[in-house]
Amino acid sequence: MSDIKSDNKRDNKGDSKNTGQTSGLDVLMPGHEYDGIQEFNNPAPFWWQLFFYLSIAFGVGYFAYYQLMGGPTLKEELTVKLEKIEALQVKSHPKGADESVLMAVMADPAKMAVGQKVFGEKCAACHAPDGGGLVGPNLTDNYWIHGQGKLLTIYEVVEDGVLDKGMPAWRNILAEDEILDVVGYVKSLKGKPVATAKPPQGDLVSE
Amino acid sequence: MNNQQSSGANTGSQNQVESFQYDDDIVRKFTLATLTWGLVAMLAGLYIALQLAYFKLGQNLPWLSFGRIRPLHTNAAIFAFAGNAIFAGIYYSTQRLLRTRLWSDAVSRFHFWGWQTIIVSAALTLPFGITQGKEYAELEWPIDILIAVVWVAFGLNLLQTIRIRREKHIYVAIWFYIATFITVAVLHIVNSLAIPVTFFKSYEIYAGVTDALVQWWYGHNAVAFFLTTPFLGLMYYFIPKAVNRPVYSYRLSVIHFWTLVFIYIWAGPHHLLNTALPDWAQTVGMVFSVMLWIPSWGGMINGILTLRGAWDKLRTDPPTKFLVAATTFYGMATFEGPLLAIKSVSALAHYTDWIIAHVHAGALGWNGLLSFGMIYYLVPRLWKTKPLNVSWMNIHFWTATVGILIYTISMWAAGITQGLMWMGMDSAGKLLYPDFVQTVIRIVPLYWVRAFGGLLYLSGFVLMLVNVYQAIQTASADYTNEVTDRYPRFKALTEKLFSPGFTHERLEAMPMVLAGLALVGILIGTAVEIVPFVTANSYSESIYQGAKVKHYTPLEQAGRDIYVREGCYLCHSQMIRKLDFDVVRYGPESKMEESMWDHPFQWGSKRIGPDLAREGGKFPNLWHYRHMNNPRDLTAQSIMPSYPWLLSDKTDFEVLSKKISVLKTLGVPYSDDDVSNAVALAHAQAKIIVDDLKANGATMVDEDREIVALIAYLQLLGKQIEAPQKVGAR
Repeated sequence: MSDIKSDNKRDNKGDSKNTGQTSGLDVLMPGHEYDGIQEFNNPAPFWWQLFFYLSIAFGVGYFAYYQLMGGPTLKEELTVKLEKIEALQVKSHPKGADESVLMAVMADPAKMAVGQKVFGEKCAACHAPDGGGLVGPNLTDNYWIHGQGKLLTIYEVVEDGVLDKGMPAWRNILAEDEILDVVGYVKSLKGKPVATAKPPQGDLVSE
Repeated sequence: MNNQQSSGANTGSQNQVESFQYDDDIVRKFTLATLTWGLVAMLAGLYIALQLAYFKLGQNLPWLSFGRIRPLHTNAAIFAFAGNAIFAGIYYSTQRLLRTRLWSDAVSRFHFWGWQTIIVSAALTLPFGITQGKEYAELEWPIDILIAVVWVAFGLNLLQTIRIRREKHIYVAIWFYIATFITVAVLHIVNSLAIPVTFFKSYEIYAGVTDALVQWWYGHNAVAFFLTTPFLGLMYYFIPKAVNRPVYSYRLSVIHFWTLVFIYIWAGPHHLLNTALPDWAQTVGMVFSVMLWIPSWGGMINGILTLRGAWDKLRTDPPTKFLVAATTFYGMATFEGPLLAIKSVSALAHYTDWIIAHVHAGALGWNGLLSFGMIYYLVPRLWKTKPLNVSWMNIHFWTATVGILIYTISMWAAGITQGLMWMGMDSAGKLLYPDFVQTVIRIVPLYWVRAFGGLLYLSGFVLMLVNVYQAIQTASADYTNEVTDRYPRFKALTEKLFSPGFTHERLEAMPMVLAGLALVGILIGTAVEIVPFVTANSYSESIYQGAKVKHYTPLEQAGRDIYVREGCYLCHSQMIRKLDFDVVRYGPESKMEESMWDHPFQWGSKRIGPDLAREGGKFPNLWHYRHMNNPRDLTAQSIMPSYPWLLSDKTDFEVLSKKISVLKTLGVPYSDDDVSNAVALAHAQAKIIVDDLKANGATMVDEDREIVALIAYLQLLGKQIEAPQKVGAR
């Protein structure tokens, strides 16, 4: 240790700036030497002080505006934004559908292909890839819990979900066209052969 | 300025020069422990990084699952690696700065072996799911008690060593060590208060928002007073020693020490921005975080500008390289921190990998590089070895630095990408990426990049281990002979605290007064933020305005304990923020009262998977059953691990009465009937779930399987408030 300390002393003695000054840059604190470590008493940089005062001023101003002067709360800001989003949703995706539109979907192979693709991506996890039912009910038999086997009611279930039973609402996830297409595709599944059919749930619907 | 301070020969005439030995054996012990646990911490980190890139790693092994190993990684990095490093550095520098041997060899050794026992206990409990479920405070109550005892032993040793010092004034490094001891003691004890159920299970005394606030008051200040102040102290010792130059500014050290001590403690709520925490507490947390930027940079300036006149050392002296790079990373991380603490930035960054980038810039850059520089400086002195291999140290420096850059840049990219994808909405008011998994798959390649960065950092560290090992082989035979120093003892204090002409130097001769003031400094912020919540334990009336909130049935509580055990909170939040894109994706924003019976709170801090605050009822029971068995069966691209053991392992029903009874003690409104009938109630509820599972085609489900309890819990999430709630954005 002692050799390091003497090194230190030699270094500082050789530094002409340190001798005899009482102000300005690189003035050593008298008597401050700890295990050979000395301390200058340089002022804090101007920009450092400036930004410190600015950050305090910002803090005081921000707190005052939001907590004392009636600035909007997080909840108020959220409410405004949600209203805008809801307006967009209603405008772009009006409630309800026309049965004839759904009939047209079923007659259009291109749209049915889209429906099949959407079904594979979103529905198959619960209803099985062939619609035979898994977590959710079998969509190929004649028994219906909510959809009653009709295009418009199936459409409502897909749009709004059956939240208590774990069927999600898809209207804010899928586009309007995608919902129409997948509803058409679901309707077309009736009577198709399946690998494993989930036992019937709901009421027998005969058309 | 008084000039009576002892320094070298000129005071020899005033007081008799005494001869004494330094205890460097304890420093060697802590140094070796640092290296050993550093390897463990980094290996665990690399392992979980690879799990995120490749979910099949460790598949189906409960004790190797992400949720159990991540706490092991964080605890090992913070308390084992950084902890041992600061003890090594503090014990080495304190003795020399105060010119005295440590107060008690026995207490030093108790401290060392006690701390290693804590670490080994952590390694033997966390992989088995024994956890309190609060980040960086996961260790169960018996270990918590041991931590408190060992920490107090460390503090006693430190304060007593200060008492028997020969140097009259204490140097800035020692101020930081004192603040470290005091604050961590307060944080650890307050945050760990819990009532035991069994030897391996306890419930936090706080619940919900109070627990969240106390936890992040602790969590943020563990970073402040375990990973910042002690390392600043080490920086103030090892940088001037390594470069042989005076510290840049004493004045600056006074200002930034006190501003850090006073301001840091307020910043905790920035971990809870835009959540259900009341707005005023969020605002206070945010503005104090912004005000922290400049005091933090005071430390960086003092560290780096100390090199003036010795910049060549950056080229020639590897330890200096590490120390200065560490300080630079400190500057970077302490700029990023306040930035992330701004509410609107947090809206983008919170729950994403940006935070992971931030903490690793701190941990790998600041704590890691500083520890490496310090150890490279210490090893030749502690073991009296030949010089370490310089080119290896240089290779280590560059692999570490490049490794950190790859790590942080990849995680910045991942965080910002995912954050923007979560926010993305089209002109129809629909989410651009409605399936959460879409936002995960996009960043998985970056998880590989991150793992590569971590691997680089680890390989540099391995090179260090070899380098140090080889050097120690050349240790001189007498290295265990204790280093003797000679120094005069200072005269008794003559000044009084309250007399004219006060300067900060007077305080430096009165360490206990300085300690007391530091304690006051941290207690002010603590009182303003924490006390309103903790004392409002009638807060079911005052804060929650009498909301009717369901508490957990015994089976749901059993399921919740499984959720905590598996570390689900490390990937899933339960907090829908007051942000439009959170609400559109997950449902109405979370209310404070919804978690009011949660011991501990599980709001989470990261979304590797989606938020679960409104998971209840979203999917049928069978969905969860199949999903826990193999998430890929329901979400083809999911990277969530499978939990098949939940389908076969049995819930401990018998302990439920005890659990419910403890929770009742903590204020959850259970009736005596609930306590005595807990087991029967749980079986009855389990039967309903099992019947439903069977009706839907599940086979071989028994009521006592863990999956049944977990499903019961998950299906309640978001349904705690009795009044029917509107679900969905509209």
